[in-house]
Amino acid sequence: MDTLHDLLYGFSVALQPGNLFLVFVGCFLGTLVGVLPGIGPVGAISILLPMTFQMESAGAIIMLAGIYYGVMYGGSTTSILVNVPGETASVVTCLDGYRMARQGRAGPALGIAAFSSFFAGTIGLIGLQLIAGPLATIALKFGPPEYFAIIVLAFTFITFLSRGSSLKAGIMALVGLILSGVGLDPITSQQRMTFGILNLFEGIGVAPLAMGLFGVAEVFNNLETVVFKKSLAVKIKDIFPTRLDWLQAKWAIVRGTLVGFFLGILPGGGPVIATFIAYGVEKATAKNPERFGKGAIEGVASSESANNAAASTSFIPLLTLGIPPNVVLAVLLGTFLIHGVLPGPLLIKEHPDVFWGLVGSMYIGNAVLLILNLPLIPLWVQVLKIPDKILYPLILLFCLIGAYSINNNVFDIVVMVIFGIVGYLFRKTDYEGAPLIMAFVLGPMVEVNLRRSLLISQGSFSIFFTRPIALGALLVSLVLVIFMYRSFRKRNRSDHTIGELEKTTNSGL
Amino acid sequence: MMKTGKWFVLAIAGVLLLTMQGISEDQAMAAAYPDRPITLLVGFTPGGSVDLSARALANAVKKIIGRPVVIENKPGGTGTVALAAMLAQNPDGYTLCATPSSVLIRVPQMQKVPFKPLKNFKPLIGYATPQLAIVVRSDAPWKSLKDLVNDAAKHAGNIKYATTGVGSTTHAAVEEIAAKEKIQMIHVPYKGGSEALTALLGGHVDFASLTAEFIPSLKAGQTRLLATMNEKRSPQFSGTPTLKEIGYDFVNDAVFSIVCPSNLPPAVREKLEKVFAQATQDKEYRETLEKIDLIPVSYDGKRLEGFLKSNWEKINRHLIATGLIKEAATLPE
Amino acid sequence: MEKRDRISCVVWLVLSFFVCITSLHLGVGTLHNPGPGFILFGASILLAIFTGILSGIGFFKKTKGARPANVWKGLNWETNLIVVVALIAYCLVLRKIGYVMTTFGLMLVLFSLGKMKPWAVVLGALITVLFSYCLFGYFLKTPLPRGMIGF
Repeated sequence: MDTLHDLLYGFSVALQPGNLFLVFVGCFLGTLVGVLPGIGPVGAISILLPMTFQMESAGAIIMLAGIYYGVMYGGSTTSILVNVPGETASVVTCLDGYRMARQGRAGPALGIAAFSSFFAGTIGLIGLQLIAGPLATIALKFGPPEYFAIIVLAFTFITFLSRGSSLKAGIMALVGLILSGVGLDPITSQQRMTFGILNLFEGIGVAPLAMGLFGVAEVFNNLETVVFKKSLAVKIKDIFPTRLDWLQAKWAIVRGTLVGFFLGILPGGGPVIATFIAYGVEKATAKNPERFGKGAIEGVASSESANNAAASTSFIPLLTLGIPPNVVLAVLLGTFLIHGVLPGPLLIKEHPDVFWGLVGSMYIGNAVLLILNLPLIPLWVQVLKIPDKILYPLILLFCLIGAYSINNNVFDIVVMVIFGIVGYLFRKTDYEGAPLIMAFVLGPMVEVNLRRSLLISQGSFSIFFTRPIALGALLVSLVLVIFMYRSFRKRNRSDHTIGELEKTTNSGL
Repeated sequence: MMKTGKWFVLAIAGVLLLTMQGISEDQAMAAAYPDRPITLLVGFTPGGSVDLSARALANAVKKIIGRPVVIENKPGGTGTVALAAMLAQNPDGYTLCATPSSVLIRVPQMQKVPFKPLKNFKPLIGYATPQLAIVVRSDAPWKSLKDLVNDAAKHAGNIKYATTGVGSTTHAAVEEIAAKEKIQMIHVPYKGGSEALTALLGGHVDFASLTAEFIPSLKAGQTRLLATMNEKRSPQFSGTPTLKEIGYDFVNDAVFSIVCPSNLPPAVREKLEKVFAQATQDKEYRETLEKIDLIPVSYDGKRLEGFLKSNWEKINRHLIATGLIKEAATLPE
Repeated sequence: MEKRDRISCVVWLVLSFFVCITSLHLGVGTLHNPGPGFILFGASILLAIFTGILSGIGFFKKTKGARPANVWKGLNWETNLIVVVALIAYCLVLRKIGYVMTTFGLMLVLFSLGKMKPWAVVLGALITVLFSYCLFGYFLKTPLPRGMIGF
């Protein structure tokens, strides 16, 4: 009953007129960013962050979080209608969604996407609300060894769940770890790999890095494509799926929600990976898997429910452990800090208005997105009608301003451009940016906690094997590594279509 | 001859004109300053006493200048990351840093830092001094610092403690005790008092040397206070002895300060000094200080600069005498 | 082994070597008291091992059937070269010349890549610059670089 009471309090925060307006703004902007390729939530949050300085902390966080989960909706719309996933989390939706649209069933595809998103997002939120409190209590018992082991597990997941070669993903994670070492040592303040550049003393910024690797690299990728045709001649009718559609999709929604739910909680998981796994699960359990990729409504339902469930539950590790499970939440973590809220085991107790306000606002936001989006679909289609030769220069300019406005410093633009080129070369050589950026985000935490653990244990590694949680996390990592080794030996080229598709449309995280 | 003279006069006039223009530009800039939000960097995690006091002060400044003052936490390297980050920005007065004076004095002597603490920075104001304390969990067996020290002597290398960073005042206090009693304890540095407190409450360290962030947990009965570190006992915790009373030659001398890069235009700096001095009179700010048990002090820029210089020498002598360092790791200027 | 993989392996080896040297220089420390180079040292060694395995596999694996398509083929990568050069120039002169002029120049380059008519390029760049300046510089109060001319 306590939770219900807290939730009501949360709604009372979220329903204040100012905050309610911010939920709308966040969801609207999130959808817009989701529609546009190249500019992702990281860039959007960076640009809007200065605007929130004058706001109350709860309101600012509510709005910026709205951008994060709103993106999932926007991405699906364009995936279905024009086969352009605005975000990586909607790549899988293209597979069947666009096929459905080509078959004249764009309406039901959009409808099922919206409803399954709403359902999954809500279930994810119930999970967030029920799990966060108890987990925070347990998390207080987490010391450096536990944090270290959990982050090692996250690293393993990142490589395990990556689309291409695990080896290459591992290399990317190590490069990310090395990049995170740039700057002053977190414990002894020594300079590391700064080359005496003042701007590097505080390390490379996560936002310019992410915007470069994903946003700018995406622009490069698109600029070089000579012909980039979109077919927009899709008529939308009958938004509501038929009885048959529901019957076909209902278990896919449930399974997608479950997959998203658990992958969202895992550090290193998150919405993007969840969609791929959920789609794979659907295909594996289907009676006639050959329907997939040809307009199966289950395909749309599973991936859309997976990414929304994961978007909701990915707040759990951030809010209870202070570990951001993906790069958008890593940038959002910065927002929390600016507003004086330290995510971690004490957050719920110390800032109930922020925590419950956020949860309440996400319930409302999910409903807002459902209501707002279906009628606004024509608008988003119009946005996409802007020709590429105008759209991509504009996106590039937004990235430039976004990077600049983080610190009002040209240096961040330089960092972004450099990593834009690097990210473009990564695509050419089949390396993925996602493991790099995750390792970059988690790098400082893994370092500090490893060093603290060894200080506590006086240099003995037994500290990781004598504590149940740390041992458990490390064992799971080991099992994953063995799995990777075995699948590595008999690697075949399954998931071919998805791999190919992602390569061509790997947009902002 | 005449010609040269004429040119001379012209040149002088030109130089004068240029300098006047320079001055007036400088003044014009100061007059227009600030026309956008000011960022105040904090080198420790949110929720610690530096952070909380800086936020309160930022609020008071906002009331005066009518522009928001945004707190940005850049924890790491015992507060040095934030100082270095400020140097990387334009010296235009829109990026300042709130820091305990110990980060300018003690940390650079213990560690090599990438700046010259007394040369690269100019203090604007010193506004408070923190209540420092040694705290244990309330279920810990030690009722006094003496118990703790005796226990630590018996089990060398078994007692672990958390501080707000290597070289911080909280660290220095424990080093002082350890040096005097010749005991070995394990130091686990954190990036701010709130993190260190979480580690203590979670049972990952045996005691913690903290600034005022321990107070809520103390009131909630989760922690016990063993010693404070100021010259006199805290009026709020008058039952707790100070380190000096117990017999250790350690008095907290950290002053929470606002510093700017030393190459800030003088007119802007003067304006800032005035604004911050006025802000410390704010009622709400004063109440916050009281709530988090900080003792208000008022140093203006010049006095604080003098204090930093003499403090550097004093701490340097002390650290060498106790054998903690052989010489300062960083040059002051 | 594909040529691009070979190149990437060389890059990673160079990186791992550099990081390894740096970490030794910083001080790896002991297990009792890990130093600033501790993690970097471990990461660089692992990176070298991973790269070794990757190149080893590539070396021993028989080349299967058709060679993979040239990733650069059929793409006008020259466009990207121009954009990269334009962006580097942008970074270099932004502080000196100021936001409005620099961005105007950049947008001229970018829009002209789209093979639009000259007047459309100029007009587009002008509108973009003015609109973005109003939105960010004026409305959102981002202190965009002013440069010598003052805007």
